[in-house]
Order: sequence, then structure tokens, then C-alpha cells
Amino acid sequence: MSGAGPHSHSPANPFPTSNNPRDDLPTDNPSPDFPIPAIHATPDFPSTMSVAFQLAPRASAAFRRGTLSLERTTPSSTTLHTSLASPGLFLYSRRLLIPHLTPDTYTDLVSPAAPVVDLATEQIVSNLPASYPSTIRQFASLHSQFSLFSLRDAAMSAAVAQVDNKAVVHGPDFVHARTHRGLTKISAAEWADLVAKWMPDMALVPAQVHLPGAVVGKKAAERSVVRSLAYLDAVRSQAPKDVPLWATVAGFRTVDVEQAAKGVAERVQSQTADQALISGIVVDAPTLSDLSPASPHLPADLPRYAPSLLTPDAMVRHIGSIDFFPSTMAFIFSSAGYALNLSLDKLDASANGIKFLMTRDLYAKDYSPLQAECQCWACKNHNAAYVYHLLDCHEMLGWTLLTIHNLHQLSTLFASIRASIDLDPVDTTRAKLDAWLAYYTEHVVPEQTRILESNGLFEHAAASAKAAETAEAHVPKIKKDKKRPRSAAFEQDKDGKEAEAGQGEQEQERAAKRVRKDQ
Amino acid sequence: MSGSPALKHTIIAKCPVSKARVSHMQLPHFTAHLPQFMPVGTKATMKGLTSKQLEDLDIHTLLCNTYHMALKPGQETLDDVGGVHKWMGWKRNMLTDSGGFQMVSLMDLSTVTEDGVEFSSPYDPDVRIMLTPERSIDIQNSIGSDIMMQLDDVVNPMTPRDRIEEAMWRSIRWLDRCILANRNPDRQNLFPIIQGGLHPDLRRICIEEMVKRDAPGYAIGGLSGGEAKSEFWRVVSLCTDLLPENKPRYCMGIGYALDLVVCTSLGVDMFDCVFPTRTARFGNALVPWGSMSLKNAQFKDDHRPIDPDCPCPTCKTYPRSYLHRIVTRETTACHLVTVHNITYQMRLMRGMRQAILDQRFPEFVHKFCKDMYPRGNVPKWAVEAFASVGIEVESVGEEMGGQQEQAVTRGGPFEEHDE
Repeated sequence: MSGAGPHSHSPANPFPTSNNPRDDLPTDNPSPDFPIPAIHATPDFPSTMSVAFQLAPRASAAFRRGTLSLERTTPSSTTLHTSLASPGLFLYSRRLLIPHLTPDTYTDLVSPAAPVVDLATEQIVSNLPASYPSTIRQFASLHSQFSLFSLRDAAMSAAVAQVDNKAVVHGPDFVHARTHRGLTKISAAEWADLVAKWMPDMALVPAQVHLPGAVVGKKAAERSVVRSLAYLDAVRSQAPKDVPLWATVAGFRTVDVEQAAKGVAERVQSQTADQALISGIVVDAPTLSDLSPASPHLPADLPRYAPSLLTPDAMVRHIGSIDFFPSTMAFIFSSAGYALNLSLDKLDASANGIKFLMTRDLYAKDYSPLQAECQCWACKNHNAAYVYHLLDCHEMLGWTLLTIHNLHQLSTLFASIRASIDLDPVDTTRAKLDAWLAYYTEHVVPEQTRILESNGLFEHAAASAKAAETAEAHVPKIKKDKKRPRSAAFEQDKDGKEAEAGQGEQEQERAAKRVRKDQ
Repeated sequence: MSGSPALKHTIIAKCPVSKARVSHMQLPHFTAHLPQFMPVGTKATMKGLTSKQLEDLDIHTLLCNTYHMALKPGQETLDDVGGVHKWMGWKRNMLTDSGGFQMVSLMDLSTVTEDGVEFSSPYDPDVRIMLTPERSIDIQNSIGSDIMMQLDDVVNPMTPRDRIEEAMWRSIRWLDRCILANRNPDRQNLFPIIQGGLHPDLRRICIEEMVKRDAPGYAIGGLSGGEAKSEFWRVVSLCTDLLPENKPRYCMGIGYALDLVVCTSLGVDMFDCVFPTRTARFGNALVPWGSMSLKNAQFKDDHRPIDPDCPCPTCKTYPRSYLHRIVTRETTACHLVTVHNITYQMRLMRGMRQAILDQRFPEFVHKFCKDMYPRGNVPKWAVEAFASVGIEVESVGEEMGGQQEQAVTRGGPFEEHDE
């Protein structure tokens, strides 16, 4: 059927992304009429969704240890119940999917357990369908996953939020989202509408989060806290009552986060059933490396999630104040070609905490697993040399295998920490974590900092100040340095180009080259 | 029965009307059901799918490219790990090409002599690589594929007759060198490639010579170089007439649905093409009524699956409207559309096998044409090809404005400009 004459190459080619003319099949017949099948046509709104959090008897001021119980009953399916032990992970997603993993790959090869997926919608929120007959869960085929509908995409480069080298500020009654079409304002009413329309299992309430590199004065920082609380109140009064909310505690400085925590705590204390309930707390402050000062002010019995704690060491430092951590770093590490070893116990000089698989001399002929003794599917079925080969050839499976591995490492780390909290004396656990942190800081953090920087992400204010100085030189520098990991972002869309600066640039460049080659 | 210890080919059913047949091809790793489509996993991987997903898709044979394997990861690594099966964790059949197709696709970089073909490395133009028949088999032995292809002198079918004839004779001589070079005849089959361009007399001579070598199976080569479709199918049909019935026949570089149905009716058993996986990357989904470019704005608010009758995981759950928003932006989207497209190819082949088993292949062809060409405009060449094997397909003729004769312009199996 190659390029069959009668149908191909009509003057107005409706297939702009088909870079190869041979991809225009001859029979561009309209699809036969058939109704929207039941799975998408029948609204499957949760008739009940319950969120409960229970601190374990072993929980202490040093270590929070608890269980998040989620239960969803829908008209079409039986009740789905899951328990997530904390400290644990929420899965990072963007554009409503887990990057590099299809749902079956996640379920079959990573974990069959129902996870909570942080649906960071920043890149897709302005591009969602105007109308859809059912829930976000069905639109994005989330299967057994529990969705936490959110806005901020923590893997997006801070540079994306800068216009003329100045950080984008949020407005009096809106927050800014960095979409592929540029900045979009989202007001509380709009967010409440989105929640009502998409009926996620849970919804995060966005706040005025400031990114590293932003220059925010004292007054502006204080104002942001007040505005965030007002935003929270507005969403609570307008969002559907049956969607549990997670309130965001955000602040530019430590004092702001404390202030925000107090404000949210007051609201939790006085909340009544006639409003959407705050069922969880999100602490999101990318400019701060230490979020623990907020902890004493937060309601103790609500689960806490901190999407700005990107790195494993930052997570371990917050075992005493936060319950759930994002898997964002697994995506960033994997896309950049790194395999982690986060084993809590086996720390010696020979343990390789982080491997850059694209290092030819080390891995082109390394037929051992990505990390010794790792039980993940990638390590059990493939070796480092194959992953080196895939990355070397820019084959997508390399990122997929690394994602499987790094997600496994992250969840194993938390499983080990939970086991230690449950079984060991507090001092033993503390000693284990301290030893792990010392090892990690010495052997992994330097490389980790480079990865974060090359992705336009910075952990805390100090790094951000340094970054602000070099912001101009920064992005082009990554571009030129071929030794730096290539981003696996998969961006070919023209619209996306300027907005995606700093992430996926190299991929775009390569894609453009491929297009030229094709022609 | 073939004399090869590494291939057992059993014909299960024949279409009483056309030349189509169903057979089982037992190879060292897996028994493939023919006719089969073999997806292309050029660099020992296919579009980000895990080996588990490839098995779930019911792929019986995967194709891998010798030329690319020789460059990356290189023969030494393949020897170290014990072949590409272990290298990529693939437990079923593997077929490799000879690396010779690059003679066409990289013509300006290569020179052909009686000894072999000399290439420039695409990674370093200063490095020259000499590919002889012996070298090709040596690498394919290291790869450990179940079916290896001979190195042939690839010429475009549109080139002058004397060059085609020269290439044909050279390919026969190279076949003998390949057979001698095979280190593992007990577990690796070697398929000759029939040459002779569009010239029936040359095809006859070539087949006569190659059949003398009693190979385990045969490939039909030297096509898909810009010749008219009406010439293409006639050559294929001539070859299947002349080739021994009990040996599997492989038509290289064929992957469009209509071509698969036509060639199956002509008695071809094996096909491969990068098309379904490559087109997936651009967001094009294959469907019984043609293809669907998911990027197209018309799918923005279309909440139906790609194909409601498709059993693949993508169609079972994702609406077009969602896929529309992620194709070409996310690697996962590429995985999802690839899963669908391979499912489409596999279902098409399975449907043909079942129809042949049920003795209703002509009905299958009618239904296929009706779905694919709802306006009745089945291309003339296909109508003629079907008619030649006794399947009458009605056509209103091709629509105005179309070319009379479309050319077969897609490349062979290893056209990798953008993979």
C-alpha cells in the first residue's frame, strides 16, 4: 500500500508530524462510526473515596512511620483498597503518565501494588479536552492507581519559569503554570472547576511556590503565603466535596513555610464536613533544603508529601517530618543514563552508589547487573553492557530499564528504612541512616548535583543563588558539553520549543536533525 | 522436508483457490507459525519495548541488523555474551540480514568488488569496513541468529540488465562462499536471496542455481527499488511458482497491509518491515481502514479507542483524545502506539492463517479489501494479483488524480535513516 496514488499527498496534508512522506498511508479513510465504548462513555465517578492516615506505635519525633489507607468505590468496579506504608513513595508522572513506562510495564515489572500517582499536570493542563464524559482515571488509563491531581511538575527546569532571566511570579489570585504554550494563569475557581470536571481520587491545591533562582523580597514572600491560603480557602469552598484535598504549604524562606504551616493547620482544625476536606498536607518549597521547621506546626495526624525533596539524601533527612516522597529523581536519573544503588546496609568503598552507564570504558563490556544484588527486573534480565549499548544508540529501552531499576532502588530504600524503624532500636536506625548519609554525601552527591544542574534543577537556595549568577551561561554550556547526559525528554513539538528550554533540548536538536536527514 | 538440521518446515493447510498456505517452521528457539510478519529490532531492541512486551505481542521471529550489530556492540561483545538472544534477553527466533542492504542505502559510501563490499563507517568516515561473504557469515554466526541471510550483491531493479545479471551471478558465487563459511550449520540456517531484477529469465536461472544448493528456505530479493507494483507482484508470483513448495519463502522489506495480503495469496510465508514501528514514532496508528495520524486535530475530542476491535492494551484503555496529546512528546506514547501497530500486524497475519486453515481465504481477502477500501477503489495491481491466483476482487478503479501505477519505493528491511 505504499503511497498509493489516489489518496496520498493531498494538497492540505493533515499529518504535519509525519516527517516521512511514505508514512502517509494511502487509505486515509475516515474511521468507521462507532460509539464511545463504555469504559470511556460511562462516568465512573468515585461514589466514595476515603483517605485515612494512621501513625504507627513505633513512630517517634525522630521517625514518622505510618500507613496511608485509600479506598475507592466506583459504580463500575468493586471497591479498591490500598495501604501505603510510610515513609514511602508517590509516583512522579507528567502528561498523566509515568515517563518511559507503559502501565503494563509498571504493573508487571515494577510493582503490582496500587500506588499513588502524583499527576503533575503542568505540561498538559492547558491542553486537556474541553469535555470528557468520564474521570481523569479513565482518560489517562490509570487502572488501579490512585490519582493525586496536582499542578507543579518538579522535574521541569527552573529556567523554564524565567522570562528575561527573571523568575516568573504568581499573581494576586492565580498561580502560574508553565505549559508547552507558555505561562498559563490558573485561578482558584479554575482549579476547582478542573477538579470537578476530572474527578480525581484526590486533588492537591496549588500554592505560590517559588523556584530556585527567583528573587523574592521579604514582603513579596509574606504576601505569597497570604495569597496561597486565600487560594486554598477559595478552592475548598468551590471544589466538589467528595474529592479529598491536599493543602500545600509553600514558602520562599523558612519563616514563610512556618507561617504557611500554621495557616493550613488552623484550617484543618476548624474544618467541617460541609466543605471539601483537607486530607493531606503537601510541603513544597524548592528553595529550602530543610523543611523540618514546618513540622511542629502541621497537624500530626495528616499524611505529608514533599514533592520538592527530589534527592534520596534529602528524603532521608526528612524521615522525621515527612511521610511521602516523590519518585521524580528516578525519572531524572534514568533519563540522564544513571543507575543508583541505594542499599541501606551494604556500604563500603566498593559499593558504587551511582553509575553513569554511558561511560564506555567502564560499562561497554560489563556483563554484570546494573547494580550487584539488585532484584529488579532490569538487573535480573539484563546487564550493564546492554544498557550501555542502548544509551549509546539512543534507544528508548535504555531509559525504560533504568527507570525500572531506579524506581526499585528508591522503593527498596524506603522498605529498608521502614523495616529498621519497626525492628531496630531508635539509635541503631539513626546510626544506619547517618552512615548511609555520610556515604551518599561523599560518593553520590557531587555527581547528583551535576545531574540536577544540567537539568536546571537546584536543591536549595545556596545552589540557586549560584545558579542565578551563571544562569545565562548555564544552558548553552550543557548543550555543548557532549559528556553531559542527554536528556531523554521526547520533545518534537514546535510549540514546545521555547517552553521546554533546558529540558529535552538535545533531543529536539537530534529530532530536527533526523527530520532534515529524512528529507 | 528440508535437509537442514536447524529448520523443520511443515505445511499445515493450503488455500484451495490461491497459493496461500499455513505452515509451521520449527527453529532452534521457537516454532514460528507462517505466514508471519517479523518486526524489526535493528539494534537488538525495538522501540523501547521490553522483551516481555515483545513476547506478549506474540512475535515469533524478530529481525536484527547485522551491520548495526557489527558496529555496536561489535562482534567481540556478542562472542562474550554468546549471541544476540542472550544480549537482549530474547528467547524466540531471530533473523539477521547480511549487512548487504547498506550497499543500496549507503551507495555513495561503498564499493562492490568480487571479494565483497567496502563501506565507510557511518560513525567515522575514515574507517573502512570490508564486508565479504565470509565476514558477513562470521558476524551472523557470532550473533547466533536462527536464520542468517547470505551476502548478496544488491542492485536496484531499475538498473540496466547487464548489471543485474552480473549481480545475480555474483550472488550465486557469494552464496557458495557463505555456505562454506557457516560455522554452525547445525543450529543456524542460511537463506539464499533470489536476484534477477524484473527479468523472468534471470529469476529462473537464479532460482534453478540456488535450489541446487538445497537451502532450508529462500528469500526473494532485488525488489522494492522503485519498480511498478504491477511488476513487483509478477516477479514475486514467478518466484513462488518456481521455488520448492516445501521450503519457506521470505519476501524482504514488505510490511504494508495490502502487500502482506497480496504476497500471502501468492504463496509467500515471511515478511519484515520497519514501517509499523517507525510510523508509530510519528504517532501514526495502523487500522483496518488504513492509518490514523493521532497528531491530527480531529482526534482532539475523540474519546474512542484507536480501533474498538483491537485487543491490544493501548486500545483497551486509552482514548484517541489522550494519545493525541502525548504522541511525539513522550517516549511512553511511542511505546503505546508501537504496541498497537505490532498488534495490528500480528492480528492481520493471524487472521490470514486462520482463514487459510478454515478454507475461507478468498472471503478474508474480500473482507480485507472492503474494510481497507470502503469506496471500492482497490488498486488495479492488487486486483490483478488476486485475480492471477483465482481471487476475484471487485474494484471501481482507482480514483481520479491518482497515479496509474504506483512505484514500490520503500526500502528493504534495513532502511534505517531515522531509526
